[in-house]
Amino acid sequence: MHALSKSFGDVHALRDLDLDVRPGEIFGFLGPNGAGKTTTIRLLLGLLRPTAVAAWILGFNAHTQGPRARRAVSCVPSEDALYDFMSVAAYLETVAPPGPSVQRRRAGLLERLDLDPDRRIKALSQGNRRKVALVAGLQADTPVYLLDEPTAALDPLIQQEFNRTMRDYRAEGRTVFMSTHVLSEAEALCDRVGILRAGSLVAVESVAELKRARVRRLVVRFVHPAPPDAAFRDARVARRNAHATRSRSRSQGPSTRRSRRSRSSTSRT
Amino acid sequence: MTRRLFWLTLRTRRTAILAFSAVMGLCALAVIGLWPTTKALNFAAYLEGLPPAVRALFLGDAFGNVEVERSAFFQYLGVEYATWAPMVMAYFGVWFGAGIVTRDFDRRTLLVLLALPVGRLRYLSARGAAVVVAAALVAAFTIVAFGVALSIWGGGEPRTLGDVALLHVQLWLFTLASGGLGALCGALLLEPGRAYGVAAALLAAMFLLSLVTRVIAGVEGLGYVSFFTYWRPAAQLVLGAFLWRDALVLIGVALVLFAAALAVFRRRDIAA
Repeated sequence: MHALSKSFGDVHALRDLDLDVRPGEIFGFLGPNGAGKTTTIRLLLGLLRPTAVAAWILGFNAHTQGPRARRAVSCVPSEDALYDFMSVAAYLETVAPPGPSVQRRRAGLLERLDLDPDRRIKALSQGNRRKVALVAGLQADTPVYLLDEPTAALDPLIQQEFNRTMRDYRAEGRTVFMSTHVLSEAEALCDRVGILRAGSLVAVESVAELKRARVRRLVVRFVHPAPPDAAFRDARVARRNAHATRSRSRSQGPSTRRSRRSRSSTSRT
Repeated sequence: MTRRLFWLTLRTRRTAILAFSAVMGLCALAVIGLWPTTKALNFAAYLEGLPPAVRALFLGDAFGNVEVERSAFFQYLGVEYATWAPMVMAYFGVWFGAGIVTRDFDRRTLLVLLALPVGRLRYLSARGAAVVVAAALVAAFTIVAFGVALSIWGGGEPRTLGDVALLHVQLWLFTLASGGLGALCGALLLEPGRAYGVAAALLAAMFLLSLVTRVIAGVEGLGYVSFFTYWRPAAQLVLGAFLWRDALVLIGVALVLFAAALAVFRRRDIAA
């Protein structure tokens, strides 16, 4: 993606997004709701027209060469967009892209995610509907996968299975671009993350760097008057809101670097 | 993939296709079944007593060209088919046409389908082909019902099933034009309720326009923008004349409207 931008009227959903996702990596796209994650994925899928420049998937322009670009891509949208009147198997067959290995991959995914293909979709729980959407997207044999908040509504066991599946895909050399607003999920699965805020990419870093630079918020309650500012600087406190008997602080660095200067304190990280 | 989309469209609308076929078939049975009663009421005399403009509305040119006594049955059918048949089929066309994009948009499956390696041209072509086939199925079922009813209640009348079939070809083309209008409204508005509403309102306006322009002198030219102007069943039923010009206009309108729907749809953001 190079200087990718998208506006809806006066609203800038995405501004000058420059991002390269490397082949064979799991890239996490982190950001709060409304940051522009889904907009980015829809631009990559050619569902939206970019306001400026464009995005390329394996050399194909996602907008002007949409069908060719999408031949290399499989997608799991954030919404569970399903045909309720179908069985799971019929739906998966309906949305399956062409390819010789699709049926074998589908069978493997159904088993891994513990999903019964004979059930009617309208009878499924929210979690099982999510599984159907996952299998529909992951059954394709493509080099690139675009996943929009894929694990929402999944129980922890299935999430673990999903993570294992994604690691298998990475081991096969496939590229996964995954949006999420759950930091722990990105930490557990991704090689690198991009952090999106209000339509702008504010950082791209490896998960190791992300953990090191993690910001912690501490609430420290002092029984006696708070220590001088120099003491907070020593403890790598980035910002401090001083109060007579209460100090809110934001510190940067590993969790072992917590300030021990309070004699009696409550803390929150 | 295109073929799969085509069958998916027919499959998701199969109940509606059956329902509309049943409605059209029952209407055909009811209209023809009522003929013996209507004949007893001297329908021919009733037609002769109508003001010329209203008579023209129902029968077009057909009334004045043949002897009333011989063709009263087909004039009766022409009057009936001039009103309810295009109403039902226009609604079917608008509903089906508008739904080819809006229903998937509404249930979010449009995201899934367009994320597949299918261009929007192929997507809309597959859906549009399903409209063509669905309208043909409804028309074919109506022909069968019509034939059954004719064999029961229309004995001895001179016209053949060939005229009935050609009449329904015209009705099919009329439905496709309505479907094109629905498809364009769907591509422009994306939301099903709004698309159905606007397309239906436009068709209602066309129907009123066709009435007004036939009754009020001096505004006849305006009637050409109405689809209903090109639906004149009496010509086929009474005179046995297939109106090629009307058929070509309806085909052209359908093609232009589907092409316009495609042009709009290709540029649309699928955002919601």
